[in-house]
Amino acid sequence: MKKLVALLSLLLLVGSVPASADTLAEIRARLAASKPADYPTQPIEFVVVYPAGGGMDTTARLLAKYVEKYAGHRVIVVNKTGGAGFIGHTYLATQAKADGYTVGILANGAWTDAMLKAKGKWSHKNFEAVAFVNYAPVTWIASTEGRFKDKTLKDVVATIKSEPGTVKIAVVPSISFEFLAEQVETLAGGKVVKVPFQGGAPGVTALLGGHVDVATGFLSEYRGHLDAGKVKVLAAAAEQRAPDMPQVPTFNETLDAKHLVWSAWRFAAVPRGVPTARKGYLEAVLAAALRDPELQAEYQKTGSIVDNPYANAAAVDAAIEKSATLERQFFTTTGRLPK
Amino acid sequence: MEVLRELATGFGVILTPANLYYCFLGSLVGTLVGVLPGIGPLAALSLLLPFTFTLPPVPSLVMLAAIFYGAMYGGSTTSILVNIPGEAASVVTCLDGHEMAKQGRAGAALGIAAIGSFVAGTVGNLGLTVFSPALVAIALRFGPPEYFAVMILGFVVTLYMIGGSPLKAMVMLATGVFVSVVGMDIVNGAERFTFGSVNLSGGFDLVAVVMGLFGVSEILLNVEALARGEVFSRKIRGLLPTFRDWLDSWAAILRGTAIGFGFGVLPGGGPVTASFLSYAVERRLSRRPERFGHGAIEGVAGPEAANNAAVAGSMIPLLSLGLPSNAVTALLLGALVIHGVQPGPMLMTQHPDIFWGVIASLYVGNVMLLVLNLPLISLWVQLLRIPYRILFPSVLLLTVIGTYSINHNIFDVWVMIGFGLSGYVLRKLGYELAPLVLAMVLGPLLEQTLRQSLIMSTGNPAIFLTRPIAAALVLLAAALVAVLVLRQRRLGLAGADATQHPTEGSP
Amino acid sequence: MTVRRVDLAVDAFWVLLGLAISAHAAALGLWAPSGPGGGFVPLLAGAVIAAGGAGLLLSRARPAPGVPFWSARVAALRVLAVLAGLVAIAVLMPVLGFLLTAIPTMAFLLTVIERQRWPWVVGLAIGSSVGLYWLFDRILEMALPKGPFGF
Repeated sequence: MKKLVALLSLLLLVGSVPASADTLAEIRARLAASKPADYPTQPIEFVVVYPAGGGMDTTARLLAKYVEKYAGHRVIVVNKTGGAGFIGHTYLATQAKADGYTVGILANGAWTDAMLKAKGKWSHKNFEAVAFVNYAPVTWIASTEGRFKDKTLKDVVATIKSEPGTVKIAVVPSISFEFLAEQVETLAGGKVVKVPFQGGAPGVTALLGGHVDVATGFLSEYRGHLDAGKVKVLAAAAEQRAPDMPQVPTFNETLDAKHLVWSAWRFAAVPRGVPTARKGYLEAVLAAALRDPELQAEYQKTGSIVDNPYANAAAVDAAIEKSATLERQFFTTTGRLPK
Repeated sequence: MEVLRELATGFGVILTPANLYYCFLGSLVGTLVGVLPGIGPLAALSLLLPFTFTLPPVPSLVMLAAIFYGAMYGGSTTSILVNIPGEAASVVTCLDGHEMAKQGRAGAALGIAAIGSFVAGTVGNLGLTVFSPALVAIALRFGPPEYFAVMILGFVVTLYMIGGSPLKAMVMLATGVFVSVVGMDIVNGAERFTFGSVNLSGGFDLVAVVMGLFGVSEILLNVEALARGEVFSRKIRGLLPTFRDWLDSWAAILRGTAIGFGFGVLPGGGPVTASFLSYAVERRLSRRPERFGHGAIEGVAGPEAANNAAVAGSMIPLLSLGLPSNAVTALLLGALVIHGVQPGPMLMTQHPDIFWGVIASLYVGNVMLLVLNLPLISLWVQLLRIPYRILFPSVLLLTVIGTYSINHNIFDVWVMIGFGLSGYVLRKLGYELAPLVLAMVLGPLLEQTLRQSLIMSTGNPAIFLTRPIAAALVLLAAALVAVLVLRQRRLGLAGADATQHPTEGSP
Repeated sequence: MTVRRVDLAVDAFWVLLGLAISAHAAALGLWAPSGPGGGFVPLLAGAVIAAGGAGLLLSRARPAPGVPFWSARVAALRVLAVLAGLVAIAVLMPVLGFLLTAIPTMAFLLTVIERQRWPWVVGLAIGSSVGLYWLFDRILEMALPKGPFGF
């Protein structure tokens, strides 16, 4: 009976209208009331599969801070790095206990790894989403002193076509940065030189030094340079133009396509099989934290978009499934996966 | 000068009781955590980062920078006392530092490490203050071909540090390169030598390898050598460096500072590469190189100065470009971002209090660390009195914890054990292990920049000679190689140590 | 087991290791469209290792024959004991947690070099293990492995 009451109050809480009018105390009280019995008795672990200090890590730490604020118990961020996230993803998919004490703060790399690297041992279905966190679209930037200083994406694409093999683009191999460049190559009808770097930031530095013509990255990686007027954004791989950067076109509109959508899409998930009451509590706590205007402001400052179109965790799962299917198509078309 | 005026405002920011307190706290905690083997600045910062969330930007950044520096200061302590590196940048300090400890001169070694670190940190900060804009402009001109050339040059210079059998050193270097190759290929994302293992797909972690090669092997060697009831004769002869020590070290400290600062500005390696380079340079320039490996104080002074100067140097790309040159500065970058501060060209103008406050805190932090560390020397030296048979199990457990803490993955502990056993056997056979670590750090950088450069030039190797900076560095490296080869010809190829009776030699 | 024999064995090991690495590296692709492929550097590394091993096998300089690898049998046993302790930690820590693994292992290691009185050993083992646990798991919040009892 107690469990049923807890579950019902959780459902009410999760489905409730964004509670900007509720005070912190009220939210805290509601969350405390809906806590399942004997949980949590130890700190909850947020597992981040990328190194400390990076964008993913920062996202997770900020989220942990606000979850602590609302839930009142400790959250520890643990970095399980290696293999560009593969080790952490495998751990969460196959080894982590589904007891509600381990939450993965993940990005789309989770399902990319499942398709390209897991070799059938696990898939993204080993995770159950508990919250959508934020996303940041992949962008192309040019230096304001370099080869494309007065040009737009259309001009760059034209150059790729007319002078194939001369445009140098900084990418990070095996992730969306590289995939985007491949798609542009196909549409432009010419090859680009994809210079590999370990992250977006080294690519941006190479751009500033004139060693590459275009760099790929997220806004958070070059915001300082953008403000200083050293770089400009050519285009974003999003479905619509960003409201705070309305002059930046999307790849889709410039190249008249639908599939050039790549972003760092961040979400929280637990290993499949967590008891319903605990999972519901986690969803409620995360939802409360993510609605906090301060947290949203912090995320926006780093260039991430916090608009959450997903009504509940099931919707997030559905969105993941949809993205994964689209990506799988891309991988089979480009020969990375057998048909 | 305007810079001095701005620096003065920075001091105004830092010299408040609250900020001073956090600077001190960071220095203390950083030192203590840095002393723990295997737990270097990166682990210390990751652990303590959450504590800074509740603080406003200036105190939290001041505290984090102090932790960074503190960990570098602390890392040399275990290297000197128990021959186990506090972090990868202190590996070289083990070579002569521990020998000095065995001769009863641990105090002098610790002292010169602290003072050398202080000088290097302060001078490095001056460079950071005054030369930042110029250095940033130069650093931007370094693309992959230039980085490759610099790494080649650095690699060639460190060849000078290798004594003993050149064949064995060659094998160690190549093994180090191979160890670094295992895992993901950074250029094309493919997996190399992982044989389907999930754990190997991340490669071998440097800390796990270093803890095994130097930490575990050291314990094994000592446990073997101790007869029953024997205590290491560690008479303590004086707590501070003597005048003679100063005479020997001052030039090494200055050279180490220059090398460290230069390499700190460049990405990758940073303090680790700088410490190796400094050791090699000191050995090369010394009039009595045979003293190295047997307690030459320059072998401690130079590298310790280098790794602290590298910290100052790595602040430049971090603060001015928002580009982290290594994992630690990447974490500092994350901390900055969490506090809403965007590093980059605008940092100085948008948040002058933060920029200059942090720089001023580096000066203050260095002073605090010196004041903290000198008295601590007598405390650490007391630890040496504990009989080894009682001390070593705790040290062993510390290395396990330090290794485990990297990724919370027990696989790293297995790696440590494997390298520990190998290191033990190799040391008994007279192999030097430091070149393996050096190759493990430099190898991936060399490979990555080589392949990046060739991709940029679509396969044309002339890129290294058509770009002026790269060409100059490559030619310099080639000249040094020629000198080295000629020198080796005269000494014979198999090396002089093959008949040496192997004991628990230093790595 | 003499030093000389171990030295020879290690030299032979280098040759085998180097050849194995080079063989596997060749399969990774030596040259990509624009520059070295993934196998280029490992192939070089493997070749150098094998060449170095061969050079060492052929060289005249070698440790003197007859020098035993371990000065006394007890020395070898001690080394093995420490290794066994490490392996025990690696195997048991994920299952039993840090504390339950550290205490017995530490007690064992404290007697490796010299037998001590057991109350002293047990006390020290418990004291240091708990101290380390408290420092790392509670103060530094480093999340050491926990066993079945929650600690």
